[in-house]
Amino acid sequence: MKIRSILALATLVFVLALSITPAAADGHCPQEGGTFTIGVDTFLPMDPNTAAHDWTFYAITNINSMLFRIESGQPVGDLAESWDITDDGTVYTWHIRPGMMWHDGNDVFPEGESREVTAHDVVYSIYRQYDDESSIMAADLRNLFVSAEATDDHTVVLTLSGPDAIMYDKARGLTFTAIVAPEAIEMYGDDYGLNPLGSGPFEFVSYSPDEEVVLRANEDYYIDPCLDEVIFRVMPDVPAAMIALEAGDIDWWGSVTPGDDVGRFQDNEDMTVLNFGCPVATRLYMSVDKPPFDDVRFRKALSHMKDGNAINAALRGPTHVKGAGTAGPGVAGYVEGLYDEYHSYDPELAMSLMDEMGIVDTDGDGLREWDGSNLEIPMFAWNSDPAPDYVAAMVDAAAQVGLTIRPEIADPGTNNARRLDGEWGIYLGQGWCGEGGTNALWGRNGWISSLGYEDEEIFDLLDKSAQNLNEEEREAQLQAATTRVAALYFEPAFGFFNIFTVKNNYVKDFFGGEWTLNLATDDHNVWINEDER
Amino acid sequence: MIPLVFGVTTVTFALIHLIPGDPVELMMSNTRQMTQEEINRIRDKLGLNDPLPVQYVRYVTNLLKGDMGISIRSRSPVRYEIEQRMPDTIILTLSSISLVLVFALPLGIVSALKRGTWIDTASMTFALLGVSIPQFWFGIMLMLIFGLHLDWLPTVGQGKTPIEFARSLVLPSVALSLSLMGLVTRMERSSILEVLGLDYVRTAHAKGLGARQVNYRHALPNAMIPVLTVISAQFASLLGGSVVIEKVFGWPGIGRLAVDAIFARDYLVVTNTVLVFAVMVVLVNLATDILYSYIDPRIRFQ
Amino acid sequence: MAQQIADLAPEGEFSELARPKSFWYKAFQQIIRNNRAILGFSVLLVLVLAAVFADQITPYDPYKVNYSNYKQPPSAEHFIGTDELGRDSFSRLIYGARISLMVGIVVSSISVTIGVALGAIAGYFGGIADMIIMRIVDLMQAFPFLVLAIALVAVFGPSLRNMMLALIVVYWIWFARVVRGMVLTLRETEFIVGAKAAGASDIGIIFRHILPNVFPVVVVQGSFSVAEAILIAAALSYLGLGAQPPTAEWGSMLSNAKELMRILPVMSIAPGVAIMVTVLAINFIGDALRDALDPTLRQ
Repeated sequence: MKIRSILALATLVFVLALSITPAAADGHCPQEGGTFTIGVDTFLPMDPNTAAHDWTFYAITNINSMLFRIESGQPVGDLAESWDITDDGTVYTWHIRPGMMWHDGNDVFPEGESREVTAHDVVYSIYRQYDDESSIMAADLRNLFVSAEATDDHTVVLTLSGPDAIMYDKARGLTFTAIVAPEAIEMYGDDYGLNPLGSGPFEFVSYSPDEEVVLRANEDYYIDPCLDEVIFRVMPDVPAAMIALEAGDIDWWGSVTPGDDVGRFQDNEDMTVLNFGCPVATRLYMSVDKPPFDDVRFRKALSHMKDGNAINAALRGPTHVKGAGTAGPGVAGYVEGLYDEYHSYDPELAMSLMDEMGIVDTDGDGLREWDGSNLEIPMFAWNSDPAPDYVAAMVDAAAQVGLTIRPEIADPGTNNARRLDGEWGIYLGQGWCGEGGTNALWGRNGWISSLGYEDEEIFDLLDKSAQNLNEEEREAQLQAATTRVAALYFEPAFGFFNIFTVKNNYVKDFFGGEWTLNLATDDHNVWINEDER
Repeated sequence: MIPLVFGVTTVTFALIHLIPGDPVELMMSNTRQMTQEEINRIRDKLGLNDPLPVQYVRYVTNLLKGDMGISIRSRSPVRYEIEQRMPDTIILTLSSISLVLVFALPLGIVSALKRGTWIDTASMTFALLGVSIPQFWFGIMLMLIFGLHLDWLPTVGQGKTPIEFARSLVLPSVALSLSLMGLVTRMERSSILEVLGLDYVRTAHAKGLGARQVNYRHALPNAMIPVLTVISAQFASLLGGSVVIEKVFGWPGIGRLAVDAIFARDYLVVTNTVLVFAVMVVLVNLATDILYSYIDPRIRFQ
Repeated sequence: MAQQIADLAPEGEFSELARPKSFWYKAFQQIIRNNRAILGFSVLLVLVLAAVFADQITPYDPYKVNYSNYKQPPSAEHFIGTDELGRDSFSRLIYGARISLMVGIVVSSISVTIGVALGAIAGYFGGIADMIIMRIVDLMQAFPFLVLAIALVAVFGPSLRNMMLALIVVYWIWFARVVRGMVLTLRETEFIVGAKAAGASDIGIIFRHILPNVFPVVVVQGSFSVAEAILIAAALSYLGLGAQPPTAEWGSMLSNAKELMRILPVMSIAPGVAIMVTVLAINFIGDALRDALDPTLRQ
């Protein structure tokens, strides 16, 4: 941690030296105060046990202290100043930062009557997630969990039955565990999410559903936040939100930005486009347990019959990234060149594969038959942009090789139900980012298991990697799994897209959200330059 | 009224459960990465794996106790969710209706009294445009023009101070009131024309009353009744029509809640919002009947 | 909106037994003297022709994607540009007329048929039939229209056909109510009482005496409901519940264009204008029909 801090300090000095705005005398905030308004597309009550949206967690991670935060993809200290892990990866000892106080001036802790956050509160919070079967604690951590105990007021020992390599991965492991005050849970019960209380850099002020959440700076935090106020504004209509962003009604759009707007914002001198750093794949799944999809040749034909890269480039605009596989560039398990090897555009090959299988046009209507009648494949997709465009592109590509694809586009719920029922056909799908995502998708009991994606070798590789603390070995196992998925399933890939968020330039020292939203940390303290607004 | 509300609730409950799709999976699949195992565990805990009749009986018994249950999506009480959004929808609806009363009524009256002149033609064209423009599209265009290019008004959400709140109310209200404006202008014009053609107005004229007096004392009050009917009948569809407008303008109302809940399969939220809608519609109809008897004492309850 | 006008349809003035031929002749005369009606009919005719001969007149295949030519601004080759898949927006706009007109006409004619039939049965026979039908009508009226339609589409599964089905389910009640009201009044009129006394069968009375009297009002309201169905269908498609991509339909084109609103505003403007013009034309016709057919407004 020492070296990190020194490095960070050096960076900070360098940045400040470069910046035109002179820093305040104490080197702390160039400009104090200000309101940071964040636009998001959905927002839910802020109980870490039940909140199911990253954007909600952006608020939670500012109200509540976390054991650790993620910054530039790496875990950094928060409530835990530091931690040790035994060599076998099963025992974590967390050293809790002394002097952290619960927010006061509320119904639970009247002004000045707060108390210090202790190791016992951490244990309480972990067990609250573990004991509540409906909490969103990840299954892999739940399955490995043995115990959590406070050995003194500032030490927590977490014992697992095996090593967990995705402890710090986005949205898996302990990254869900926000530290809550037992007194607040006792007072509010199920309504805690409407009255969240923590020890983070910002205090909860108010929540209006579907409207906004207001937080104000916690002056007792161990860092003084430069911002006075943080507002999360809910904007379900993305184009409207883009207008608001440009008009300065919101300072940062924290949810996914559509490709075309990214291009426009990149050209806008007043805006900065930030990369979330986790490319997401768009690909097809299919009912691989049913013919003709159970034949690898047919899967291969589906993969080669379309110009996935061109389609993805057209539909994702500046967010497009060429590639294929379960992990994108920059994510553990990424394999270079997978697209060209398994998914390149080759309609001739696609046709010859189908010919080989006997899926040919015998009656001369230009359409291929299978099992005595024209082969018409339903393609399932959800109904928000740009999913339907992928379907249109597939319909067109299939027609070139004599196949008929019937669009079956529905709201996400109906679309999910079809996948769960394992209906015969092909499915548009998006990957998840991070290695935890790879696991949840292709692993045992994974998200697409209902379609018949079951391969012991892949399961095995993923299980091993999830418990392997050696980074190099883990990377190799993940790459092996990724390659195996491509070679076995030919899961027809289009490419990746980057998740970009966009901020106005008057928001300073801000680098976007990761899975935690870091507004006041050792290295960064977000502030608003009101002169530029 | 009670059997009606009960019927609405039952039909909605059945309908929403007929829709394929699982709320837990939907809630999670956006950003969380969950295996089927995790999803099933949560479903079980939330009682979603119970047989439908059991869930229905549980819902009705709770409702009779004044408990609307818990939203699956937000896990907070449905009652809270509805109470929070109710005022916003009512304000939006009322502000649209006032726009209608302030602009459409005079337009209809002038149009009728100046029948055949250019004023009539212009206002009738406006009225016809009003009922012919897709509301959501009009909303987007308003936003583009007044919010972005001219930068006069905020594009989305609600302002905090009263003045900002009023400013943020303008565009959604205008968009929402457009078709009702058109409708009321047309209705007002034709009902005044109708009343002017009726016997007692002719009699009044014959008795030597001036045109102005006839118009204001006799024709206008009577011409109000059909307009009132339109507005009250439209109240229900304004509530429902606000769905799209609330979505476009990010207005945190109950219509948007209902639609979001349908898509999220948030069963109890859907059932209860529709229940609230139904009660409101019934109450507005009742209020209209009472208003009728004020305007025209000849009308009494049967 | 049409239905509310329908609510106010007159319930009293049906003294003529069967309308004389001159009634329709006069109405026709009146309509062709109405400039707006002529304008409405002309626009509609153009739209219908465009819809029917879309294959012949569109410059491009509306479904043909072209990745090297996407998101183009308007030009001589592409009058209103190309969309995110390089499809010609103008061709798609023309094909869109097909869907919109079809939806409007199918939804309103089926709901009129069902509504008139059930309304006539309820009004004429009364009793249990009336009670059941009116209970259903009351129940459905308590639902917010759009929310019910959305829920129904969600149950059936979003598609063009299912959206039309859902619209019919919520639409017929308006006609049923209007027709029932008129029939209730008609039933007591002398000529029907007379016909009954003369031993005419119920079916005969309904077809020979009741329906002809109800017909003009239904035609007027039906024409308005075509316009309204087009608007609502566009809204549902905009919400992703109607015609599904890649179908060229105005509402779903609009929802597609949403994302491109800032760089290609024409894609948001054109389908909206197309909807507006279509609906306006139909409303012109509806107005003319009302002026010509509605007994209360004939002076």
